[in-house]
Amino acid sequence: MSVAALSAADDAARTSDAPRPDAGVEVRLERLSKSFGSVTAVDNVNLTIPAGAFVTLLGPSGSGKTTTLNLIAGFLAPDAGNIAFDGRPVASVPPHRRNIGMVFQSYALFPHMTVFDNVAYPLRMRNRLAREALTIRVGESLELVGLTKLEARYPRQLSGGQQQRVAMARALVSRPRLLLMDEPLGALDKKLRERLQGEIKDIHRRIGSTFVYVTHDQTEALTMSDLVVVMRDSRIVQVGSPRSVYEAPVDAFVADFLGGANLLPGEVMANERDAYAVRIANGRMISVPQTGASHAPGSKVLVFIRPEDVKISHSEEMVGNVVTTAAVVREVLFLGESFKVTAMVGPHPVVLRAPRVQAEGIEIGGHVMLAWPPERSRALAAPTGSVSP
Amino acid sequence: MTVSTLPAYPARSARLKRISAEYPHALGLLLLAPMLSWIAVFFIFPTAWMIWQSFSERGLQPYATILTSAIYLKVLLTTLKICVITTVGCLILGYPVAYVLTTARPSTRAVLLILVVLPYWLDFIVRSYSWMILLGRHGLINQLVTGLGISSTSLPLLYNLFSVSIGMIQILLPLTILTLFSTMVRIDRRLVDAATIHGASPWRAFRTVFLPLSLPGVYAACLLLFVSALGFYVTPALLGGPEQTMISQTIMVIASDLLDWPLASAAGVLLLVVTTSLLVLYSRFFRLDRMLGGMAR
Ligand SMILES: Nc1ncnc2c1ncn2[C@@H]1O[C@H](COP(=O)(O)OP(=O)(O)O)[C@@H](O)[C@H]1O
Ligand SMILES: [Mg+2]
Repeated sequence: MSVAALSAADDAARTSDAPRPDAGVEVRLERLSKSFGSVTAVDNVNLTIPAGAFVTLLGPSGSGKTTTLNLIAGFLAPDAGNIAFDGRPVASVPPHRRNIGMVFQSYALFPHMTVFDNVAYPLRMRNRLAREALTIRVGESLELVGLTKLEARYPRQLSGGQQQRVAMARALVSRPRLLLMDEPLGALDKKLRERLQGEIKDIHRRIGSTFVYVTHDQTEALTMSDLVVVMRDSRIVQVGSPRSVYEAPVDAFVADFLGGANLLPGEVMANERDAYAVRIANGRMISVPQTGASHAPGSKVLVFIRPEDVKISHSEEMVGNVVTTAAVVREVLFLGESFKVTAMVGPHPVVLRAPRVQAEGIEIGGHVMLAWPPERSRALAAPTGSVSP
Repeated sequence: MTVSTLPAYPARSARLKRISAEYPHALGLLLLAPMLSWIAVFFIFPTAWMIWQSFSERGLQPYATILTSAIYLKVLLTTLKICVITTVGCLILGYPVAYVLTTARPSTRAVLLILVVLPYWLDFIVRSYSWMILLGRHGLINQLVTGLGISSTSLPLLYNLFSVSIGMIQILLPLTILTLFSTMVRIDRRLVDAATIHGASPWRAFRTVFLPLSLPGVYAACLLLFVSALGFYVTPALLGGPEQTMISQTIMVIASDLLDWPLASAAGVLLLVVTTSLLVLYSRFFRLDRMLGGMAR
């Protein structure tokens, strides 16, 4: 506490719980494109990242996430399009003047410097601080990431998790209004990754900077973000809150990438009030709400429903507003707290989670009824031709 | 064939196992044997013979002659001076080239590397003679200088320290560049990015991150250059004047003109001692094993 008392007024403001209102910068990407030779890495990307938000770029490897981050950082110049921070174009601002903090995928800690010197580096480059002020700021930053007493060590003497924290401390020490992170937890084991996810989220709440976080792990994106930006093949395919991209994916790719999705092929037969009547492979007509893209009668669609929204029963009777269909059990896997059941609707599998009590008596080859609330399902455009979801 | 060798295999492998258990270094020694015998016959034996010869006839007297004679000491000093100039010159010229090589795109890099290595395949003597054509009294440069009226008399460019240094630098430059390059390519470029994004201008990022990380390569190059320069013979003989006589030339003169083999051997032994002590000192200070094996990381 004496540490905090010694530092300047704005240091004191920082340690209080509410972040400063101007703590984050708004980042706008307009028609941004970048190619490497014949490879298009970022293709006409439009995105507004609100000030102070935690935004995740989520997509499979090679979808253009790192390139987008490098464009924001200024390591790469876009072939076309603009980047603006708080409405001001940054095309002519070199990376070292953009006032950004960055955590690299491999951490990129300076191997010839101690932990202290690594963390002090941005302060030495950006701010002219007296020795005591510098020491205090480095100490604060290391405390923020939960790392103390290791100042004299070299990066190679640290564990992966500790290196990750040092990289965070270095990125945060000069209080940048924008923090870029490229798969910062990719190299860590699952337990540590989950713990650090919580800690990073907590740091974001405390300092209020804009965080742009790159990952290919959908759980990470869903648990941490205010806004998820799903990328595929150099383009943005969907932007939305974690719930909206999870519950209302715009296409089969997003549906599948964000977690196990059931996609039942069907044909739109009618277009009644707020719902489509869709005939699925076993001949049954089911009701699917009309949201998102519209489908003309006769068009092929994929009916999307999450495994956890599907219920299973041995008998016909199912009450409430549900759609039901008959199915044959193909596989039952014990997962601990629940069973993973795969049931066939015609030739198409439907995966669902059955709690232990519900799973009693479910046998492979047995006939069951599946049911789900229609509002949880979506009709997605079926991929045309040979393009697979 | 197959039928007869198959049953034998387990037995043979068991025997091999037993042998390798009893003599854990046997296989390594076996593989090293050709090289070790080569070194023994063509290096260790002649060296030992040279050392023996330097003492056998007149005891320590040849050493006393060298260490007390002003001429030999001057040659030794000249040699050291030329080696230092060559080493420093190579580093100053080679560092930027190696740096550019690491930043170049792979296709450009390949072309540049070939250009760097190309002179290495040209004969020493050819390269030294080409300098004579350039720098001579009636050489290209002097013709240009007098022709353009910059100077009325031709400039003394040849047979001096300048021409020897330039000739030796040219010969050792590919080695310099390759040594520096091999260290520099292993530096993670993301480290420079990390410096830049955290506020360092390109120059400061270079000075605080790239340069310190490239120093092991610089130290390795220093040693390699200095030791290589110590043994130069042809270049100073062709491009230097009497003032630039180096130790190898002197040894040659003692051996083939004065026919004083003990004296020549003693001079050789002294050169060997200087070189070896340099290596030992250097590896103490700069951890040679790490330098040549890359950064420990
Ligand atoms: N420096 C580069 N040179 C050539 N191609 C590149 C370069 N960087 C990225 N790419 C290509 O651009 C595409 C997008 O890459 P990247 O942005 O790294 O994707 P992600 O981070 O989502 O895995 C990939 O096809 C990749 O091969
Ligand atoms: Mg990437």
